[in-house]
Amino acid sequence: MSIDDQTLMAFADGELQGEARDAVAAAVAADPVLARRLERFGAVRALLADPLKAAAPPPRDDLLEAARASVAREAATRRMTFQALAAGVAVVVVALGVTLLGRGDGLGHLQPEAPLGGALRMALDDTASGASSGTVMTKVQPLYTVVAADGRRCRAFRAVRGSAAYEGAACRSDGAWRLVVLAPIAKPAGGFTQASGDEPPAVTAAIDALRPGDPLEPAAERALIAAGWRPARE
Amino acid sequence: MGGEDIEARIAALIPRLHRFAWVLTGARADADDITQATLERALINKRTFTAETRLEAWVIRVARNLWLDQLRRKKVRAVPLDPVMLGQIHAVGAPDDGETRMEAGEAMRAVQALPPGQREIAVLVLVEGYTYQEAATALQVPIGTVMSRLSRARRALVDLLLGPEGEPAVVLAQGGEL
Repeated sequence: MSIDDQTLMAFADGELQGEARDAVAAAVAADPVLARRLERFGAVRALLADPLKAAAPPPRDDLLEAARASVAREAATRRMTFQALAAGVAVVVVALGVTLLGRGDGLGHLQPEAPLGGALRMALDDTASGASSGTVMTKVQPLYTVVAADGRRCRAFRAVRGSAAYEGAACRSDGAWRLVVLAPIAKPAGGFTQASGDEPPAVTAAIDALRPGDPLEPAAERALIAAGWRPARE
Repeated sequence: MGGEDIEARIAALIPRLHRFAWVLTGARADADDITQATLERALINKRTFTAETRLEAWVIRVARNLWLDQLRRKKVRAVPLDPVMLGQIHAVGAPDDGETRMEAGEAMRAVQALPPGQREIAVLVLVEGYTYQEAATALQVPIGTVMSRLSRARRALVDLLLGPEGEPAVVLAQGGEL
């Protein structure tokens, strides 16, 4: 029986099961040349892993702190920019996004601050963060839920309609979801799986400006969904 | 998921993340830079992580992408043997064991001779102990790609670390095509 290197390595790495593993084991037992080759492939792991793990330098002590500080600096800069431009550019982004999202589908013709409808409202009302819902044309995935400093419940979401995709946030007030920000993003590959791209800066800045607490735990979010998002303030 | 929970999960990954970056780059300063930049990305995105997010796969993928960006920026075609690499290995708190230090130097030199696509998989599987599926998930490549790249990498590593079959290793190859 001929065993190629890839199969022999998979055997050495414990990646084969059942008959495939037994077949390689039998071939190795019967062939000293193959046994020698297997031994060499297996030895590489110890020759790399043991000395490199022993010699690995420790990370610099302040890496996490430095990362936190850098993120905080960037957030402060974005927040200032966002606040300065809030009445201008950000609203344009919102209006543009709403126009695109709202054209001819169940989302309706929306204005910034007007109550959301259609697929977006349904998803924000009823869908847990991480799950998705929507219509044939428009898919919406709530990403997380926070409580803003002023008590409003706010949800970040991702929406895909045709070839266009957006991330945004909406807050609940006076019994309806109202858009806070909407920014175009590259369409997530493979649907709604964890996006590898960063949250759009406009969305991060808008949510930071709400001065929210930590995202709600799933149980707390479920309770709000079950209660129809009826907090004390509404 | 609470912010403190997620930050604790991120913090717990730092040693492995840093070691991954160190073996990829062969330089502690580069490993620090890549680790810090990866942590920044993780903190920026932490609100989108859930209990189901494979956080380790996420940070490994981000670190690997940052490393590839760094390679492109530097337009490095080959990694010469870093004259301070062995010195760093001597200096960084490894057990005071000359043999271990020498082995680490040889191991690092062999890894650095691999092209990037083979190196990242060799580090994850052979150093970090990932299964083929875990490596495929972290790097978002098909498992067949993991197997074929690992196969090429391992044949090269065997020759570098053990010498051609039937002969003892005498001289380690230096540099290599990136």
